[in-house]
Amino acid sequence: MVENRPMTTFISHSVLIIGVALIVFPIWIMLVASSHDALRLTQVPLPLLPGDQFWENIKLLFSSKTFGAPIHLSLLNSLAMAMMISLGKISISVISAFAIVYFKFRFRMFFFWMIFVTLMLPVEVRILPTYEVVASLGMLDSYLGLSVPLIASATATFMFRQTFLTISDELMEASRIDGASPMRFFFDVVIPMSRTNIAALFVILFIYGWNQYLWPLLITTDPDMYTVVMSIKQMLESGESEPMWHMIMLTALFAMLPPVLVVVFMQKIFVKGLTDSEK
Amino acid sequence: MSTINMQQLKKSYEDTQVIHGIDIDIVDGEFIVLVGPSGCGKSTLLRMVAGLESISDGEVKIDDKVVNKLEPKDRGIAMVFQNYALYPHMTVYQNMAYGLKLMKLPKEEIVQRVQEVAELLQIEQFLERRPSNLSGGQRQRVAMGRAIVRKPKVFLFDEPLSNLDAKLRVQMRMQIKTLQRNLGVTTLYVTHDQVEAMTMADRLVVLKDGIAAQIGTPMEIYDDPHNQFVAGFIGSPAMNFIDCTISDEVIDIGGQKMPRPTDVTQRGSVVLGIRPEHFINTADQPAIQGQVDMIEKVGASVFLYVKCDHIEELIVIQREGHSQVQIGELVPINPNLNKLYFFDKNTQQRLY
Repeated sequence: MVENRPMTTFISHSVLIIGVALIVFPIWIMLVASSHDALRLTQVPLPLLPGDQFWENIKLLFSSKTFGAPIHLSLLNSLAMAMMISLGKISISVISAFAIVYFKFRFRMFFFWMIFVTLMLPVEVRILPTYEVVASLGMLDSYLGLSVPLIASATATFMFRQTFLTISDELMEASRIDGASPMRFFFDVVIPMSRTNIAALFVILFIYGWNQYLWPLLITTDPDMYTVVMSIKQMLESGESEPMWHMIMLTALFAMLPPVLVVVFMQKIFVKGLTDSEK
Repeated sequence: MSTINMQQLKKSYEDTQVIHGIDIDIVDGEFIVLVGPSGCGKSTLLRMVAGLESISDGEVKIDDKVVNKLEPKDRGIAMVFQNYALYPHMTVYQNMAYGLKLMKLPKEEIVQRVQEVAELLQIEQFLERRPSNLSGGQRQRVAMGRAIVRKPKVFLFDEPLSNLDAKLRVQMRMQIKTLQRNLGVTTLYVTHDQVEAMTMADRLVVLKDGIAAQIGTPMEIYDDPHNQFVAGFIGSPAMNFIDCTISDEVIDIGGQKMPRPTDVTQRGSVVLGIRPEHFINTADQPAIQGQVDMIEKVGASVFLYVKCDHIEELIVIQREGHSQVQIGELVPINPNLNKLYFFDKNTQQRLY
């Protein structure tokens, strides 16, 4: 649709600008708040321009142990959890989609629908039984406990199934004639041909894993296992004392950074994976 | 260098049978074309030889060895697919080398073989490109290269030219034929295009509904079709079929009479078949006349579609290229009486 009406342009731009402002303003406040000292943030009005305490605050944040877990440890925990969840989800769903698409076995569709039904059972719904299982397996306060219950993914399986269905059967036949076993075909043809989809999914799943809150909160009791998202919450509830807003905002900033980096660096491949169907 | 024998080959999917017992013996180095309308089972038959479809009953032998249960890679075959089936994420070189790599050949031999075949097919300059950067004809050649490097006993082609434009198709047709003759590899080739079938085959297998309607050299099949289906399928434009009655003196076509060739012994109601090219362009015999309904000029010749009284279908007559016939004109219909075919109305078998 190519139109050139000043009024339409004006309205659509205004809507977009308002939308962007709504998203950007809190981030700006976060940036500003993280660059002032604790005292300034307790006074009204709140500052709208950055202060000069940014580096000082960073030093303080990384040196102090007063906020439960050290920040770099909780960042590392978050990273480990997000990586294990996203990589685990991808490897399990890619192989189950491969089984469902390329092998004819008894009850194939039954299993497919079984997987599909788990979409209705996110961790929040099954949280008590899952906790029970994880506890009995002795996986509380461990990376495995943090990630394994979140790994099975119907969405990813379904998405890979759709991708594989677009790979022509002739390719499978050609590789059979070339002498490739099913697993060779999987690694030599299917995986390389789905790599943009895998990357796109990685971005989504990484952010999903990074942002987990409820589950880590439940199964970690050792402050050394806290994830960064949890630490922010912990800092807000630091007993009797005033919340340290500048530290909280700085932690939030660090918590936002990895997902942002993942999106920025994988954006090109991400968009390609979601839209490109050149097979 | 090898032979293929199919004995009572059958294929069923659950309760529908698609191949009804096919026997073909293919000698070493022969170029066999499987031809037939879509759904006749020609691709299925090819894929059964390839090992991509299981065999319900009967036997396939390659070099006198039963291969029914062998994996495709162990049958000594190579296949070229309709949509080329090149691995899109690999370069041309990798595409061609992939099968050899899986055969665990030494690296130098792979490089050498690919190089040789690439030269043979004139695709050396594309070796580092991806298939998506090649034209249809080039992809076609790569697909053939991938088949040739395997040094197979048998080539299988599944409608390899159907995605190319007309001119390229003619070119590739000749290239494939020449290549096959030089390499001397036994070949099974599936097509629905009867011109392709006629021009390439040493022998043709005309398939209809999972049955081999006729097997023979192209000219045998053209000159001597065993039934109405084969007669109608081979030859372009197709043979004219006209219902008629043969009596002692004449052939009666919808009330209009034609002399009966003396050696036609059949009597009664039959189907008369005349090829468009078997009409004589003179007016001296007592002829049936018809009105020209449509004209198709293809350059070297002209096809007249003629409407005759009491005959339902338009009769197609071939005339030489510069024929000045106009639409609506009356033309005589004078078949060459030595080139008439007669078919049984019910069984469609050739009577004479």
